[in-house]
Amino acid sequence: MFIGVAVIAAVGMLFSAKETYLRLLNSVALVLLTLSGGWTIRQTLSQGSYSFGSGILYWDALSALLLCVIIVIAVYVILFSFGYMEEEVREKKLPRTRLKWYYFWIWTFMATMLLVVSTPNMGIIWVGIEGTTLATTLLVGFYRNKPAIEAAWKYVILCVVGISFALLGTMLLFASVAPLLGQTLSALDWRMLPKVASQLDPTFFRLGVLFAVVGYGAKVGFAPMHAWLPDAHSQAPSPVSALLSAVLLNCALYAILRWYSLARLTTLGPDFVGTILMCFGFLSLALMTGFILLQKDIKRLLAYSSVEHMGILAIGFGLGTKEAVWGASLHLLLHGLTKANLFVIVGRLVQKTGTRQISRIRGIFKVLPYTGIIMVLGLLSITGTPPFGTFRSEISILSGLFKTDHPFLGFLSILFLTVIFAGFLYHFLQMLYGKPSGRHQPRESASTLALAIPLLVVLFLGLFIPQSLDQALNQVVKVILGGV
Amino acid sequence: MIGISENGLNLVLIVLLTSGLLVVYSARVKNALSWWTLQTVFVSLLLIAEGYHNNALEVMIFGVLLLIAKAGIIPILLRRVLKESNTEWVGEIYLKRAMSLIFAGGLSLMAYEVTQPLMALHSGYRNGLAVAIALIFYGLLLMMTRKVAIVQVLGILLIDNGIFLAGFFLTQGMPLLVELGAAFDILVGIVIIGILSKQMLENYDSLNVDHMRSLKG
Repeated sequence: MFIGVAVIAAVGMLFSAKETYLRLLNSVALVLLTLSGGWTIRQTLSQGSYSFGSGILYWDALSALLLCVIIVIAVYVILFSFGYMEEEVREKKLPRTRLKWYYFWIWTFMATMLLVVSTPNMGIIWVGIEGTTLATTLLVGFYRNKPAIEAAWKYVILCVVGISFALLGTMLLFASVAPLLGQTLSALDWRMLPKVASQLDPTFFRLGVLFAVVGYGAKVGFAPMHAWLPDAHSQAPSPVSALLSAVLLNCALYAILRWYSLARLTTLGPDFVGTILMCFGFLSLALMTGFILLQKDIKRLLAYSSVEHMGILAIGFGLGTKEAVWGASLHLLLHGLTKANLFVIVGRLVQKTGTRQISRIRGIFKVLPYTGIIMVLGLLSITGTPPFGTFRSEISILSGLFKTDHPFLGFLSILFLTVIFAGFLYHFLQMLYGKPSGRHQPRESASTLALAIPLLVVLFLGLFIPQSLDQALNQVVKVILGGV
Repeated sequence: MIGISENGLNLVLIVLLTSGLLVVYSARVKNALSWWTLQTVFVSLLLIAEGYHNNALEVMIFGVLLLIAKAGIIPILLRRVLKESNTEWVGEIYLKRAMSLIFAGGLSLMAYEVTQPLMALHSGYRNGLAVAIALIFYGLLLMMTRKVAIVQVLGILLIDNGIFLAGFFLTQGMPLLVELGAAFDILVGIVIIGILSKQMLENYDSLNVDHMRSLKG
């Protein structure tokens, strides 16, 4: 149903590029999306699972978590888009007629992501993930200048090739499962797969799961397949960067998690995919430390930080203990909120100062005091500083490392996280203080602070986890670990 | 089997492999595109033959749709981009044509080697799978060694054919809905890549991806 809303909204955007029309249509679509999505999440969590249309669409706690992340962030980012894109039109960076294409692709992108988290089928999920790549390609290249086109080209080529390997993996899965469940669509359904998981042909399945993790991993942006990610995130319009970083990466990770929870039940054993995920995780974390320290471009800084956080998530899920997976599920939500907020506020900053170079942004507190306050909050949250929720989620992942006899890896991760904290602090303090250069902007109004809502939620979840959220996260853990 | 005699199937496989090699060896983008189109026609015919043999009308319809979309629409689109950009050269920078043919030969042997463990299958399928993997390798080779955007796209298309064939010989085709989705995705993908290459042309006056090196670090 909300997929229908997104598709209709996407088509509807094409009829007119008038400001009021777009605002109205977007608002109506967002309200409908929130209502139907919220209702689905509620039903799913109270009953454990929920299906629609005789099981074509199906949600469990894990899909509900992703659905929640998508909807919350989409509402925030699209509302922010109104003002941001109007400003871009006013500054003559874009002609007004292109705005309808912008919203068309945004809503197509939403529809494909909603499809990914609503289908219970390993084949359809592939179709959806490939769809997200295609829907975002022209958004990444939206400014149609040289760097934007370079980024879009790199993005589409690397991701399409990466994801085609995931298709090969899905085929190998189908080859191993078809003799057991028949040549039908339901053979790729993950309500059916666990029943025959222990009888799957290990040669086919091992190859298949390797292809799938590497293929989707390219889309998640695990190092060393992350080359497209900073380019795409830095060149896209800032609301799009926020969606890419906070939602799209999570959707690709979600596809891997489905494979992961299936692989835990097969003869490969629970740790096979977990170990691969942890390797990718550590590699991402370790490599990104250097990139973050030496970064000169603020949007690329945030992009590399996304890779780093995807690494942390991979470590948490890969460990496979209850506590670590709980922490990783929470972190998925909190990182999404934090990163969306940071991209939005940095996007606004870049729009006002006219540069992405960290060295040319100075004295934010003097010129834009409220933006400065939000950036401090964002800095503390993205680096996992107490009392923010990200501290809570990161600490449960890290303690999982120590509890499962990986003390060396635990120390290393803490070291990397500390260096990343130092790097972020260095870059942000430089921008916040100092003498503002270039054109002075009129002081902003306190209403800017409304943009900080996601960060305040993260702060709140660091101080207090409501029982309903805790229960929901425990359900997610159960889905991933298979009733452990 | 799939309604084709063993000899017939081997003949089709030879055509598929040779056309793959010719895509790698072509000196002009236009020729490479024609060879790829020929290959796609045979892939679709294979599917239609299977549908006919099993009396499965929906498989035959899908085969015809594939023929129209992949052997019809995609080549027309790419040809148009080529014409506008006046691109003829395939952009062989790192590996000349003869050398890349030798490489491709080596990759075909490797394809037979890596499919070894999967081979509890019928011999015709076994060869088919090896050819499919070989095509995927050729696609990757093209993408790594060629510098013209459209040739890189041909690499993707070769990989796509290879993966499609792999699915065909491994499982006699994935569920139809997934196949349809995958085919639709590749079609939309080529349209979007076409739009992107036009924008590339407007900005850089050529389709040489080597010009795009501004984003680093």
